[in-house]
Amino acid sequence: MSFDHSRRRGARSPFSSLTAHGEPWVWLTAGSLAIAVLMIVGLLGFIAIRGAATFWPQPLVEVTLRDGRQTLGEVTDRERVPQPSGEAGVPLERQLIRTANFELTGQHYEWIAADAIQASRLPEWATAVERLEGGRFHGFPVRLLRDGEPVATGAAAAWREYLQIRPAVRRRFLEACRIDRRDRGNLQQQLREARLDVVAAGLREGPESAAVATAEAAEQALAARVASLSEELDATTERLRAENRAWAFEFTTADGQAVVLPVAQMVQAWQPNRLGFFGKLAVYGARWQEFLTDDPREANSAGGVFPAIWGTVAMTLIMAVLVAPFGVLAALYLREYASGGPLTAAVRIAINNLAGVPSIVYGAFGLGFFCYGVGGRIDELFFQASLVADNQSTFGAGGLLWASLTLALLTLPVVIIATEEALAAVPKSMREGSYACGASKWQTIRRIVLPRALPGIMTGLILAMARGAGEVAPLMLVGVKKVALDLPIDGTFPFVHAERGFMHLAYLIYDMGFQSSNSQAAKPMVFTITFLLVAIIALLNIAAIFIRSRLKRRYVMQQF
Amino acid sequence: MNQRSTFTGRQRRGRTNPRVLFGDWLARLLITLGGLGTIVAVLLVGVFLLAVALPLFRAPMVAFGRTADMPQPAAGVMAAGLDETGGLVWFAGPERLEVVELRTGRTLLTKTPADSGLAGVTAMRSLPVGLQAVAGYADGTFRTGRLGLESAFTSAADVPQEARLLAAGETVAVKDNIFLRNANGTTTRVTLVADFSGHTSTALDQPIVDVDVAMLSAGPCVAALDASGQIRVEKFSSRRNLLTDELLTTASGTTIAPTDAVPNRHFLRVSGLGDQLFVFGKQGDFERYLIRPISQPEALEQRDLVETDAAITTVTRLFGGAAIVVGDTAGVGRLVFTARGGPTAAADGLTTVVAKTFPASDRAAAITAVAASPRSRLFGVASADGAVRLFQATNQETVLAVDTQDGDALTQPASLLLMSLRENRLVAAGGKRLADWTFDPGYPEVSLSALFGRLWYENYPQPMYAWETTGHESFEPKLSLMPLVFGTIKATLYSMLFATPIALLAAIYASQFMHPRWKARIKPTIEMMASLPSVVLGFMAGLIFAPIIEQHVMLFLSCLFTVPLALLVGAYLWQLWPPGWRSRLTGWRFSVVLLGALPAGMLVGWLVAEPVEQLCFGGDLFSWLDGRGGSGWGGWALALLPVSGCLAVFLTGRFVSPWIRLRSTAWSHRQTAAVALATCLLGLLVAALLAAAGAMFFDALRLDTRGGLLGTYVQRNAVVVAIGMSFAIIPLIFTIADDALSSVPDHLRSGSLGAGATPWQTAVRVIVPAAASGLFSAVMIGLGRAVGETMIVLMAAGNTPLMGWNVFNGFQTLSAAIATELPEAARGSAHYRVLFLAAVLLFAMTFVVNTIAEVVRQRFRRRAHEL
Repeated sequence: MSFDHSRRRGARSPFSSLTAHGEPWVWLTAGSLAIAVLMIVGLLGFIAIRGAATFWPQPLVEVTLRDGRQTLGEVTDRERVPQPSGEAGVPLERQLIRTANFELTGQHYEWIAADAIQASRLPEWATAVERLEGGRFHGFPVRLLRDGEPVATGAAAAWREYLQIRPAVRRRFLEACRIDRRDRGNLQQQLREARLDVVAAGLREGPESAAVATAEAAEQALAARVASLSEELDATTERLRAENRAWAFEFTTADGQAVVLPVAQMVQAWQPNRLGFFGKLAVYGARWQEFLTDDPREANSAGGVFPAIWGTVAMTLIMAVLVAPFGVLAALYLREYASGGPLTAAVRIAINNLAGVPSIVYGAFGLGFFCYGVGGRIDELFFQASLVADNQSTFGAGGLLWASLTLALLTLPVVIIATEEALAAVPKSMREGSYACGASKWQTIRRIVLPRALPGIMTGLILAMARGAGEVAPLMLVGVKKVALDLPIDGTFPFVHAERGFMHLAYLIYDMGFQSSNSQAAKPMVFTITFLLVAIIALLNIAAIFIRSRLKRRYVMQQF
Repeated sequence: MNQRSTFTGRQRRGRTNPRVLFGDWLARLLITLGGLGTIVAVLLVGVFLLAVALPLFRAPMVAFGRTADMPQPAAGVMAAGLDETGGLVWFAGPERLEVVELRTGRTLLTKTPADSGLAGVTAMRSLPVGLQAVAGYADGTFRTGRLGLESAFTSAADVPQEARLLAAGETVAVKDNIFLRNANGTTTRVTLVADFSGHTSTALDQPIVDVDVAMLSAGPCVAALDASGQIRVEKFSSRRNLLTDELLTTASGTTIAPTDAVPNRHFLRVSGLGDQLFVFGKQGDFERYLIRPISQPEALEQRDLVETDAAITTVTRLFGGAAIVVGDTAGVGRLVFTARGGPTAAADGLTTVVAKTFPASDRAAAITAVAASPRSRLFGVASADGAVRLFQATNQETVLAVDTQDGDALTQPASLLLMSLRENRLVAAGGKRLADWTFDPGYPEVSLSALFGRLWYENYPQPMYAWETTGHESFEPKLSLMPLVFGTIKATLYSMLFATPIALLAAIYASQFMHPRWKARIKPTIEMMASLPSVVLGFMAGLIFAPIIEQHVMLFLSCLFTVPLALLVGAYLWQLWPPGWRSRLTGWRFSVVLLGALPAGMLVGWLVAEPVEQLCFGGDLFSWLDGRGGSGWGGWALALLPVSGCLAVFLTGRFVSPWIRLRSTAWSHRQTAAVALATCLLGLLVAALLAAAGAMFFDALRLDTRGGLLGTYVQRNAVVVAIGMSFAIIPLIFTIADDALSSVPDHLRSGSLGAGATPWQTAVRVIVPAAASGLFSAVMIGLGRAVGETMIVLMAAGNTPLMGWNVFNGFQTLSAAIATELPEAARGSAHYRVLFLAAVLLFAMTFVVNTIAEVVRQRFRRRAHEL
């Protein structure tokens, strides 16, 4: 929108037309927008790059220092620091090397000054191993052992042999874990229930009643059965583990120490310097798969985040199931049935307001009302035995149900507002047409209004889910756990354990970033989790935007 | 059917299917019920929070129990106490030890002093928790031991025959034990422990006047004062021999000789930590000794502490052991503790101060007895006119008052006052009578002055706002919400200062100057930023940005100035192009800004960062901020630069531009643009000079920005929070502001442009004023979000409840305090309820802000329709 000034010269000053255009001010506004765009693009790009890069196999560098020491590791960071003596002059360059082998060196990372390095090279057989315990290991393969006897010697032969036996070892390992977790867990659960039955009978009918005696007898019978069953399980797991124990892999570290790792302890192993692009891609994929499907290890700093994904999804879905009907009901009432007056207007303002009330306030409400109030009462009525015997609350503490309810309450105003807008966007002519054809009010709503408003309602719901999935402040009060490997929905009766605490991706970010003892090592994982969470939320948002744009195309939307 | 009611004049012939009617009725019922229920449920959130918080302000209650005869005169009792339940009271005097049941007034047990090793006792003290005791004798010796009532649950098998048929609440004495039937059917055995077979000290030889004991982790610390004014302090430490499992007790102590400074020492108290000894004379003269190490006591203070003529009657150590209540004959209770600093600080940097006074009686009657609560800073004071008042030491509230002479409960002033362990029963004894009251203090530590006022907390240098809720067992809770409210305001203010200009200006550009095709791509991108989880922003701000910003503070500061500068200069350079070219290139303007001017501004910022640091901050920003070296000039120069910049813009627009306009009629466009550029540069120079001059002026006045706006750098600070929070607020304000600007009717815009106004003039003089209330409500909604944001401040603000405007320091907000402390707070405790009160405050703050925004927005919507 610019004007051609050359024709309007006359007596007017060109200066006034120049100032009238306010070009400098327009540039300032443009600069603000540019900063905003740069911020979002920069942030998303940074998260995407750091998050996606975590599992890409980095080359392993063998560094020989001037004092003769050798280490093997990934270069993770470089920086320039001022001269230690405080002199001006060229700043020192130093590298942060992930040296791993924590049990040998006592550190995961090491800063090495550039001028302390004599030589560095990329040895072909340098191997990185993710272990079950003790973190990462870096070394060179020497030989594969079975019962202490070498089966294959030399890096290439040993590695080939390892790749062949690994699937079987891994399978046995997982089988043993499954037995321990599920079968044994089931037995323990049955025992606990029997024990609580005894306590409950005592509470119900007095400590010396017949019911107690019956329950005690049942408990003893069960205990005997469990004992024999768990012996069987012990035998099975012992056999599996013994077979696995036979296999071990001997490595040497960069400074020449020999380290024997049991093969069952090696979760992933790769030789980044040997791998081509596709080889690296395979390792990358395998590590992503582990991340998405495995349980966390080592205080969440390694392994996968499957329980957290599961917890996030379960909580968000339960929340959506709870919030959708009530949100739609409230919006229908406000838009279709309530007699518009100052009261309805006030209610509408109040609901708009509640959408802006801080989430932590809802968290406090959830803790006080759901956990302590309703949950405490449920515990008193139905789970008194657990309360008395173990001093353990069932519903009286945070859990999946209370978290979902709290978030449902938090997102309810959002859904009500979105649904109302969607209902308002249905043209009046359509309703009137329906009435003219003799339809009743409910028939009109059900057949005409709701179908037209459905995309809008869906948009609101999806946006609410996106908000719920990323909200963590209230969850910290109503049931999120640092580690909760027992999923809230699983194969044991009654399948949905709504009282259980659960893990959550967003909480994991907070917890690992702030409570972790080794936050340097946890940072790449945090970035990956952040990446995952942002991706989930972005997907939900894109779905909402897509639905909204389709809706906009089909109907005239009321603006503002 | 009424003929008039039909519009068309025709009668309906069909009948509506009853199923349809029923369906309609059912739907109406369900939707009305469900809808109303949902709305009410949502609205109840605030009500519930208030219902949890309100009991904090519940009025205390007190009820008179009964009065009973004392077995021995109250005046002679040297030590007394209650059992765990508060139903039994014991007295220890020179003649007898007795246990009285308050419910019935019966004396259940009696012991003679001789049985308990108390023959010839002249002074005694016993701690309510742990029963550690010390007794001083007429021959100058003193002994440690245990004295008091000890309760233990007994199994059904151990209950004797006499106690089996008791009703709930009844007691029976069997031999030396008292059996008490509890409400839940169990039985408690209570025994009167009086065992002074512990360590005996023979260092003093005159009758003991006063003794005191403090329980330390290793063993008791004891002090005794004899009639000649000599003081003996001793510390015992017990250690179990690992090989023989023998308990080895070692004692060490020193005698402190009388001094002239306090001619008649009369009271002495050991601090709860066993490191200080306080000695009082009758006339208010006072000494303080450091008794750690115990072998070399050091006299730290000797002065008249209570500067009145009244004589001291009682000296009582409060719970926690750091504060002492001193009562006098004029009816004034004084709270005394050591405070850090002060003009008269002793060698250890502490001064003993009279921090608060408590009026015990309206008639200036002497204080006769003081009872300290065994679990909080609550204490009761009895005075000679019969009044008993309960005070809270921290906030100086009078919790409740009873008159002991009311209904002849006591006929003489109470010389003995006791408070039960659960703070639910008060026992007063005077003459030969005792009386008891049950009371419920409510939440005495919480009051409006405690929540929103400055209080002088124990050991603090002066009255101040403080929030500190967790500590060791006997610490003083500091429940002032002010630091949290301040932190919330600080976070909101700095975030809004950073985010609002960017968001509003960006919205103006996006809605007025940007090509719709570009806008269609950029708006959803920015909206996407609005739905980024705050925990992600908190993580980025606290763990990624904070260290980066710490390394490059100067770069950040200089970019704050160079980026707008580069944009301005860029625009003036852009004007040098011929107008025809310029209008053809308008579509590329945003790209040029994004890829040219912005990076150029940052580059310049990077280049000038170091010289500016040299010039303003003596080469090292951090040490300058710490207050080491450098003058205050640099800080003022930076702070005044925006102000002088605005001034320069105003002066140019008011005086310089009209002057040039008169002269520019004959100039070519290029000449004009060059002159404009020169004006701009000149204006910048003037602004810089003005700022420098102003800075010199303020510096000459010895004013400094350090300590106010600037100060010591902490890694997690308000700047980091502002940046992290701006990621959340900018998109919110941007979206709503852009909607408001876009919904100004098109005919206004067309009319303005058609009348010859430029797009900039249209935007500033027509669109923005028309959308002003919409822009305002956008800012208010952003404000509402900033007030309640939790995760970002939790992760990036450092969570230290400090007060101070320093942009480089941390703080704690209401929301962060709730998030971190509520899971740990005991349900129903004062801390729990105060956190709910914080939630109510937060709720109210956002509710007010959002209501204003909503009302303004609805007004705007109506106006936009009218235009």
